[in-house]
Amino acid sequence: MREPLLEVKGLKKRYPVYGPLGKLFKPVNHMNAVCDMCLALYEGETYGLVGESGCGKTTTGRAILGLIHPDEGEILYGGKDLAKLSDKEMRPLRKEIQLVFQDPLSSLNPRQRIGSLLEEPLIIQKIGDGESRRRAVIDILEKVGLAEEHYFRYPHELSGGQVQRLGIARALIINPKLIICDEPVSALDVSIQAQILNMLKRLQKEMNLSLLFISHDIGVIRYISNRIGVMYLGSLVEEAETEQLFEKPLHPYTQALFSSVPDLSAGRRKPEILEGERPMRTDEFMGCVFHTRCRYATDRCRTEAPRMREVSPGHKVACHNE
Amino acid sequence: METNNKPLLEMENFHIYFRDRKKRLPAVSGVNMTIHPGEIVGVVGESGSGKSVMSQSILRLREHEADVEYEGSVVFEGQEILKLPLAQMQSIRGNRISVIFQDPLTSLNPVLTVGKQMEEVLILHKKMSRQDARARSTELLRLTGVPYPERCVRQYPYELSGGMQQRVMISMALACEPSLLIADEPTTALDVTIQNQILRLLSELNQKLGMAILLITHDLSVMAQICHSVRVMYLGQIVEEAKTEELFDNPMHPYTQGLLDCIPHLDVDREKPLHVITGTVPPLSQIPVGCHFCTRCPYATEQCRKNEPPAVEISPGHRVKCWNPRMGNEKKREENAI
Repeated sequence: MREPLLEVKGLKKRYPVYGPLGKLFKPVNHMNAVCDMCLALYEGETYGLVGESGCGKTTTGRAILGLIHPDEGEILYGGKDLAKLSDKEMRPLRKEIQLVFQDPLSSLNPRQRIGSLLEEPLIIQKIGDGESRRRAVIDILEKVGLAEEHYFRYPHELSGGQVQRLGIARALIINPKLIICDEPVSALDVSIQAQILNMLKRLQKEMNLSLLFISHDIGVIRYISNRIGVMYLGSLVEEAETEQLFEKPLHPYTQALFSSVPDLSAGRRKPEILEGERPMRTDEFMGCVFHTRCRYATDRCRTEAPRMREVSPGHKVACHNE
Repeated sequence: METNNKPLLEMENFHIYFRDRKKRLPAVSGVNMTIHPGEIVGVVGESGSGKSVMSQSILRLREHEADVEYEGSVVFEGQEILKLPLAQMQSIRGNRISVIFQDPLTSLNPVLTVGKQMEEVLILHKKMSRQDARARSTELLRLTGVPYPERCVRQYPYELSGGMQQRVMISMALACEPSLLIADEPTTALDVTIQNQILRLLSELNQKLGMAILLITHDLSVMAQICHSVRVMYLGQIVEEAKTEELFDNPMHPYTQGLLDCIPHLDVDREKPLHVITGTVPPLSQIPVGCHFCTRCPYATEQCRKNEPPAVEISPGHRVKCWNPRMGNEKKREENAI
């Protein structure tokens, strides 16, 4: 078995929920944004994390980068536990782990020119001198499909797709090993989305990157990932290789999620509609995360949380009665 | 569905221009569209295609914020909307034509309870008493599947989830039993599982109340689920229109085909790169002469760059604005040859 590049074990993040008078009194409850989250990412692969909004996929991604401090759990990378590092100790590691945002324009300084925006990570990580940095910037511009003429432009002069290319270039310029892509194509039109996905796939091969790809779009996740983890209410409910998962989804939530994707080619098949809404996972929440909306739920599901178990090689599911 | 009855809304050669210092920017150029009572019509297009501007102009919601000019005609229930005085528009808005927007939270008043804002509509348009209005609001919320309507009327919008807020918006839009509901990206901000609940609701309401719906979206799969017919918009023009089945089975315009191909469907080959439409939508100040799509079209010829193509009716109800429309199967054959 290969050693994973990154391993997340038992990650937990709670947020306080306050009463009507806000922070004047003690929190009335706690909301578990992420609870007992475990995942392993191997070198050169794309791991897709899919789930609806509020399921904790972004929290997981940010915890890995140290942008959020988890309450419990370990994040192992190269023999170190990232969860225990201080911001200062984390800094050199950011050279190896980078983030691509959903809305890159808001993550870029509007008063900085593109050239200097791209040079900044190199300066912070103290890589190269002025001349070699400039060459690196021009190099990366070309790699992501922008041109040298963009060097002196400002981010607002670019279109949505080009800004996302810039966001990716900024993550790639220091040659990271792992990139966390948090909904990188959700804000783009479908025709531009396809361009960005193709580019990410190409660059991943060229630069031997590992990607943690976070998205709510099942079609996108399927296209880009080697392995997929399905999240619901702060925990992973199913994990498998892409083909395996789509051929035989085992968890009732995965099944409902997949069938809710309308299939254009198969015509007007009516999607299965999942009733109800996502509850809040407070400390008192018991049993399987999905039991409130699951049509197969039994008494056992309501009281006892199922553990992740391997049903076939590489295919794990957390359900009492898959 | 009856098609020979009188149309509910008829747009003819509808143009919308934004004035920008000296230039006139055409946001919508020459749209013809007919909506019959009880029909669900979908308009699909990328951002900047003019779909939202067009739908909001039916209610003339744009005049306050920008310098807008209209040309052509929009006839709703026999009235020419573009020439009505604004005071009279007020009696159409929310009464005969209602609208729901993408982000329900920004369309709801944050300092009023759900009940208060719903009563407002009923008291204004239907001249109801407050008690009657309250009873009717509860009834409307029940109709749209809000679980505890009596509690919901006393809640503030922020206390509700996104799906519930959208249900409240829909109940409000239904308050005066409009004959046309404009839904502008009603499910874009929602999760897929909730999106399906809302779409099913819209389609049920359409059947139950016989209300026509103009559904605006960028998502083709949403169209496929509930629309009777679909219009594809690109840079202010309708490039293709057809019945839903016909459009998905037999798309003719290169833009429609491109849109359908570049979505990563669940049966797409993961080893191959995705199909792309090259380039981006040009800005309104740089609309090409000839066919609007010619700068991005893989089949564009000299003629496409010089003259604007007419909308040709290929089969009944299926119109394409293209000089050389190609059959879906013809395209497949070309691909196989390559």
